[in-house]
Amino acid sequence: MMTAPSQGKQKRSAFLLFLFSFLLLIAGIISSLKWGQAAISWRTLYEAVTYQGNDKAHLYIQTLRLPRAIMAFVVGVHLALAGLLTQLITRNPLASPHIFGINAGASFAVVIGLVAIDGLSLFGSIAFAFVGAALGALLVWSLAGSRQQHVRLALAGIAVHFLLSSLTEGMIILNQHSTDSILFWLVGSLSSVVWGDVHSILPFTVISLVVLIPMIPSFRLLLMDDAVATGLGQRIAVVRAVGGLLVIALAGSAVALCGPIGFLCLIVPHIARYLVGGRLAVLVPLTGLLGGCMLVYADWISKFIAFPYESPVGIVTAVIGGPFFIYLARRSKSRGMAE
Amino acid sequence: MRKGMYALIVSAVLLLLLAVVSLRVGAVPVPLRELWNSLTMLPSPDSYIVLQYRLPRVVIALLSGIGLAVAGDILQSIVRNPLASPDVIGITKGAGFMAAAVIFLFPGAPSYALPIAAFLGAVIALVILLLLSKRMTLSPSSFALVGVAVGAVFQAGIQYLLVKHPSDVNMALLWMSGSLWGRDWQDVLSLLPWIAILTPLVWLSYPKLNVLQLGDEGSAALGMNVPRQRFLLLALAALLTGSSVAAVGSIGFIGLIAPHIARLFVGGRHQWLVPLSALIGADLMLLGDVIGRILIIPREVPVGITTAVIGAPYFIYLLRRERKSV
Repeated sequence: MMTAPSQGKQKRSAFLLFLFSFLLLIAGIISSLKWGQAAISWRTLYEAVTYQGNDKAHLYIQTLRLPRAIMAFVVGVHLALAGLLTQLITRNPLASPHIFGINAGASFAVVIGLVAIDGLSLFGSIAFAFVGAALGALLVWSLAGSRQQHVRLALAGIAVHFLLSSLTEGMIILNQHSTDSILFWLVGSLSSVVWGDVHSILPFTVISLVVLIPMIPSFRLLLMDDAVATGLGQRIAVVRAVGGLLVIALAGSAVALCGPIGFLCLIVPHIARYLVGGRLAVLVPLTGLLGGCMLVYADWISKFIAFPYESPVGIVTAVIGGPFFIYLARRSKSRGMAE
Repeated sequence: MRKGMYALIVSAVLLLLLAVVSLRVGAVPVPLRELWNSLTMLPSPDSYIVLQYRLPRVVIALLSGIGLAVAGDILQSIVRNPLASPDVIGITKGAGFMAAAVIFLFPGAPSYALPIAAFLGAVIALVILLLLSKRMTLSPSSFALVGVAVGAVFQAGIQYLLVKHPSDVNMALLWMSGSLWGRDWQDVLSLLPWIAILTPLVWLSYPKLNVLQLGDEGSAALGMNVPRQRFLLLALAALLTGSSVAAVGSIGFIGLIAPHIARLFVGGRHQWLVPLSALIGADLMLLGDVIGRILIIPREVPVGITTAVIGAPYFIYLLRRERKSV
């Protein structure tokens, strides 16, 4: 057990953390507005965000880069919070919507929607994503069993992931038109975001946060040890169910709009927890902020790895996240948590 | 072991039947009599289709089914988890990544480069797994988790290549979901030696596989050098996977399900389990190919997808059943 720092000191360090990550976020958004395929001067940038100019460059920033940066932040918040909730619900540090089949389920459903219905609307694909996410999660949950051993969960999740993604691939192969755009979407990409996407995800963000914030004290139940939690009976089941619905709403809407961006949801909660520990009142907002921050940077990097072409941001997060997952798996092994 | 014997005979007969069906059906149906004539080298209008097109395909399906199923059997015994399989722990993805790299980065490469690259990819994935697992002991749980992550990173690499080179996407997708389309005797020749040598080797090490199922402590108590045997068996699994994936692309689920089904009949006794998994793997592969060819004539559904569709519901059923019994 750590010796608890005094109340004031704790508050101050949390405040500094928030300030720092906020500044990091601002810097990230400014960088992703300024640097990209086209060079933009600082002056134009300033004029564009204050809506003073009407040049091509101004429009470029206002209609392409700005919504994209905001979307990256919002989706990052969604995914990181979904990851944190999954880890809380399952008490498993390796759980994430990705491992839980939510991403694969949602993308499978969205591809069905895109193939079956011509000109599927944005809300249509969000609805498909929700159904798919819920089914994927149920499947993995029922396969992994109630005891939730880490290895079993990871293997069940990945088996379901393979099943769903090979079905998705099959549908893509059999419907060769629009292959490229679906493929790009399937890796998780923010490159085609417009203001309309931002407008359609924000309601889900607001609703989820409105439900989530009052629930924070109840989620504390999930941090307790199994015996205590069971002793509290009915309430914990309700908390879990609400948490599950929140995960589906957060991750499902993010996947519907930007594709399955992997691993972000796994890493960010761990980093946040490393920084502030298990105090949920601090942990939840910090996880959201860091998630948004990280996706803004990942998206910015993704513009450059195959310059001048865009690469899906999902590749960046997978390359950062894969090794981190290995690190976590090995650490939890050495602590004797794995089996 | 009467039950094992029966199971072996039934799956062998099934294999024969499926092979005949697979030779007959397709865009051009071949009547039985013409089939017989072509196989016995008598003159027949269909002999070109049968001998040059369908027969090598059947043989490839058979061999790669055996390879994947036996590899899956080894992995499930070593990891002691029914969900382990070559595709789940990232070996197939490693092979897929290298093959995709050849398809996209060296479009002019000769056709034999693809299997070699896939093979190398499987070996690289295994080496990475080995280096990352604790003190190189390949302890089952960290091995499985690390494998999942390694697979994800390779997958990201594949996707990067796919997105960066959109012109060859269909070819790569077809290869990656696993297809038997257009295989000829050349492919048979490059796969046959591997399967013919490695499968008996696996079968001969059945006592080790039987012991490893007892767990690390149990195996060590019986005098086994656990890390070393585990490494040798894993290398066999990687070679089998690599050569099969090189021939047919990354076909999933065969390695997962075939050993499962075999286990239902003969339990954990590998002297029976290895040959039975091999036969069932070949059965499933042929079945998947036949279904893929007759579903939407004249188009083909890649065999990797049909096997996933056949296999997945069964897999879920098995897991649920097993969960209840544990």
